[in-house]
Amino acid sequence: MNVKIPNILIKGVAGAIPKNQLTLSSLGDEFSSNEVNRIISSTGIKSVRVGLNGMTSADLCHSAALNLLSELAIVPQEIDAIIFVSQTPEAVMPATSIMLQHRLGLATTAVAFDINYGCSGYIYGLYQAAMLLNGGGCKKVLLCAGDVITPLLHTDDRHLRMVLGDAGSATLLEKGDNDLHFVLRTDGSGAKHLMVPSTAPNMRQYIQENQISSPNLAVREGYLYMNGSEIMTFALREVPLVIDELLISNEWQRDNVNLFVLHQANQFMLDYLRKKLRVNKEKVPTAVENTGNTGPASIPLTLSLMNEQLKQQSLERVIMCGFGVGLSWGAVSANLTDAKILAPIEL
Amino acid sequence: METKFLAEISNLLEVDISELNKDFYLEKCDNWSSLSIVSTIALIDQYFQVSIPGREIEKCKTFGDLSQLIMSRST
Repeated sequence: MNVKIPNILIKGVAGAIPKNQLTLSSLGDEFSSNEVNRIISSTGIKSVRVGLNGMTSADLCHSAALNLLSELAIVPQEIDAIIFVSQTPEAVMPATSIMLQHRLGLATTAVAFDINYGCSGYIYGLYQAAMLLNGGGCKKVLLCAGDVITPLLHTDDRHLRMVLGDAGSATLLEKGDNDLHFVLRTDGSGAKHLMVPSTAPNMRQYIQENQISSPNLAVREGYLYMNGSEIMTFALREVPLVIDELLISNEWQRDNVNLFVLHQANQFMLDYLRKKLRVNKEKVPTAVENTGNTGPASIPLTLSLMNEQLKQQSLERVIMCGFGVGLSWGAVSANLTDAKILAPIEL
Repeated sequence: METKFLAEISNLLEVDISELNKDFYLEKCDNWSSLSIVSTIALIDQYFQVSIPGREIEKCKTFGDLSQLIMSRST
């Protein structure tokens, strides 16, 4: 998919993170401190946020949304649609977006959708929001993206516990003068590399048929499994391709792009992607040190964490790119000049 | 093999560059882990512009095996 959707304005972005921090060096007691230090030095992640006492993705997105609507002086009744992008919903049914419609006080005339996506989800959420605006039925769309993923991490899985953290976000889009140009990709043949297996019999068969296991990586039903080397190979292969396609489609030179906001997998992957993209360090921000990889929230949270710095620079030509579970990946070009970007709130 | 690549691998494995000969046993190196395999994928991609899946790198027992794998893919 390569599509330009005209007349869209990204009006505001806000993040929300749990107050509770897991300092990774403290895991040296549980695992080998030498290995813990090696992982910290490679990933650039010193601590991650962990929601406590049943905190959910919806709680974080709800707080981010209230903050955003208040700062933009928009009343909830003005919102025509809410999209919730997450892999950690409130319940199997109903959709969390519907529960958030009520919780945020949106009108019952609003429409609500959940999108079950991870690290590429913010781009897909923007795409869905832009289509709703472009379709004519909506004037304002609220996009909530976030995950409280830490309950899905097995206590023995040191690598994932040292990378993934919880966060939520809210983004407000409305009719405007700018274009959003999307390049989107899907490859379900890679589903086996990143998943939370269920106990369903056909899932057990899928795991067996696809030989999803290796000496170092346990597959546990109900817990997140990731084959890091396959994901690295995938990201290095595909991310530069979609960004190049987006540059060509927009007739942009890479030197003229103000900012490349990539999914914040970890410092190490971002460094290699930046080298492959052949762009300066200043143009590819990393914001993983104290929050880790926050899945669908990572792109808006990066903007939110960098809000002061972003006030000093042009945001006319910004490329955002998400990639991960699915496998699914996508990039979007946007003008964020008029976006009000708020510092994250802590819950 | 490019010296910069060898330097990066020796740094990754925390061994002296002079030890990285074809008989160097990756399997017996404490730092040859899933993390270093992910790093190796990226280093190979950076220095040789070739993408080798982790499952193939995992099969390499020695540094000689790894060098041979890279050479077979980058030519």
